[in-house]
Amino acid sequence: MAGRHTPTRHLVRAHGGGVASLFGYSLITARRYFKVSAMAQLGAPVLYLLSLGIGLGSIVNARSGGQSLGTSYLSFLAPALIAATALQVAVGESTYPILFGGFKFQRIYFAMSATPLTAQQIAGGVLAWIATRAAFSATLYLAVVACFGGVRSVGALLCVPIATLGAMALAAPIAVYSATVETERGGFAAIFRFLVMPMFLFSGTFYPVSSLPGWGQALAWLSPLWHATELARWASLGSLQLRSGIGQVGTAALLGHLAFLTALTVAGVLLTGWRFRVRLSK
Amino acid sequence: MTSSDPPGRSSDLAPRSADRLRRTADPLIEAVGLSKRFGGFQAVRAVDFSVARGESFGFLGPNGAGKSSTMRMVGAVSPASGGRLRVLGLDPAVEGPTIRSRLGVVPQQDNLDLELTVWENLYIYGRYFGIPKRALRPKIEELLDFAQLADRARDKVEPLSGGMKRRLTIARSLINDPEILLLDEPTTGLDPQARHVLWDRLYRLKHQGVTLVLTTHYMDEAEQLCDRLVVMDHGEIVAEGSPAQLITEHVSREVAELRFGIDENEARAAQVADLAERVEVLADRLLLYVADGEAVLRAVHERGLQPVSSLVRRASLEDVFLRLTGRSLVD
Ligand SMILES: Nc1ncnc2c1ncn2[C@@H]1O[C@H](COP(=O)(O)OP(=O)(O)O)[C@@H](O)[C@H]1O
Ligand SMILES: [Mg+2]
Repeated sequence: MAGRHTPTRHLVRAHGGGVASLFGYSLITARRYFKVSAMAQLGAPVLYLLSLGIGLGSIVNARSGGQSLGTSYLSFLAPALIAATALQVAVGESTYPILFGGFKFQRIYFAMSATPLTAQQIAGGVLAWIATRAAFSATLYLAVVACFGGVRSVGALLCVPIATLGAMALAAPIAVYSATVETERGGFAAIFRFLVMPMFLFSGTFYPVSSLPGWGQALAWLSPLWHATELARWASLGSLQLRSGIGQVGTAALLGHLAFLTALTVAGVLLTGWRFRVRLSK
Repeated sequence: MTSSDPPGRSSDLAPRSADRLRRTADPLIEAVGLSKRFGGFQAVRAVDFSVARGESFGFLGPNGAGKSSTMRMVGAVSPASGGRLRVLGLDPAVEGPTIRSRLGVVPQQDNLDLELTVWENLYIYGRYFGIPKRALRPKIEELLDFAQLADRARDKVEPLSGGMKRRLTIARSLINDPEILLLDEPTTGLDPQARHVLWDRLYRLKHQGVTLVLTTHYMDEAEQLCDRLVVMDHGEIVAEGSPAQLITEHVSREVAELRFGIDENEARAAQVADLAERVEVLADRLLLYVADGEAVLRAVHERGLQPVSSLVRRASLEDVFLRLTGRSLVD
């Protein structure tokens, strides 16, 4: 072999390709799974909306439910399902892939850390990708809801950023955990079973939390999903001024929801960066 | 680092001042009293070494000697716990990204993305260095040829053999034309044939003038690849020199190996001790350090001693290690 040499040294950037290059990596990986995951992501909402929105909805609407809600059950349910789906997708991405693919088995974060990229950039790239996945799922879900006739205002488009923020408010703190644990001993399964599942059931997804007893409402306050659901309903139904009051959120409450979700997300992002730095610099 | 001296170019420029002249002669890597602690455990104990441009430098030592810990500090990923370290004249604690942008790293444990193809692994790695897509295409082609993986470019990494994965990791480390290539146990776990293919590749790099820094616990690898090496044990550097120097300095020219049978070795050692500069008693044999092995074998036979088997060989780095630490390199 002749000593052919294509110089690249002069093209290297002292601070590397940044989060954009990490994003490029995620896109390449995602392209592999796009068809499978898009199918799965379309399948779930279609099933949910058919069985709950339409099936259960027909009962709710036929009884006094539709009247007391002031809108179809489907349009009441849809914003919450969008938020819940984004959350589940984001939590999924912030558990096994970080610990197993990133730190333990393929160790791809260690490969990244030998390049000009910093640990904070690597963590940032990972979280930015999780947010993108969540936003993508929310968009897809919204499109399906629209096909079922569950969208009543253009404001519903805001469900996508809201659902994404809500998802990151849980996924970023979970990423801190995933970047910290050395050995997986059922912690992730517990997160799904004892955190994500109850959150889905008790965050006002299927009925307003006002139907819950006082302690239930107090718990909902701690749930990022409830805050995201309130915001998503506000975005989708608020402009309709429903007599039931659904979708009506005062300015103070609005800011409260946003502040809660933002605080969790920011804390999660910062702490994830810190945990990545500690783990990658041993 | 001054702004008048762009990264990586100091050796390419005609030295115009005494300062620049001194700078070009500066080592690429310089460690003084370098230490690494993990909690209360000290993995690297105040080591001193330096590596010059174009040199092949090795760390030879058994498992746990602190080789990887040292390499990770040099690679600007793991902060030093003490001492002074300069890589390319820069302080890793301050200019980690800049240093890393000019290094190539082959870690002890492969960390390729198994689900991506060979080509994609090289591509994304180049992107981490900020190299534009257009420049990466021809570079990847060159590296695939170099690593003898051109026909596997579109295959996933997962099913590749260990030797192929290792060659891909080396190709990946070259994507940025590094000024220094750090190789942590480049051939550990490979079969002999795969090791020879890899050595051949590393030779080529050495001849192209790439500065190689490698760790190994194989003395033959150290002898093959290193111009100069340090012997490491328990976090300390116990000797330094070229392979030939180390052998001359610490052991004799030849070694006569005698096997008397497991229980007898110890007793026979006393009977032949005066024939050698030094005798080592191992579990299965005696090592006699001598200038002329054949002559010593004859003398042993003349004393009426009949070893089950015997051989004469040149002294190696393994003997140096045994001499310095009382243990063998590979356990
Ligand atoms: N992250 C770590 N935490 C605690 N101890 C470590 C860590 N990394 C290495 N060590 C310990 O430091 C010593 C040197 O390890 P290492 O540098 O990997 O040696 P080598 O590469 O020569 O085999 C070993 O005893 C090892 O167990
Ligand atoms: Mg090691």
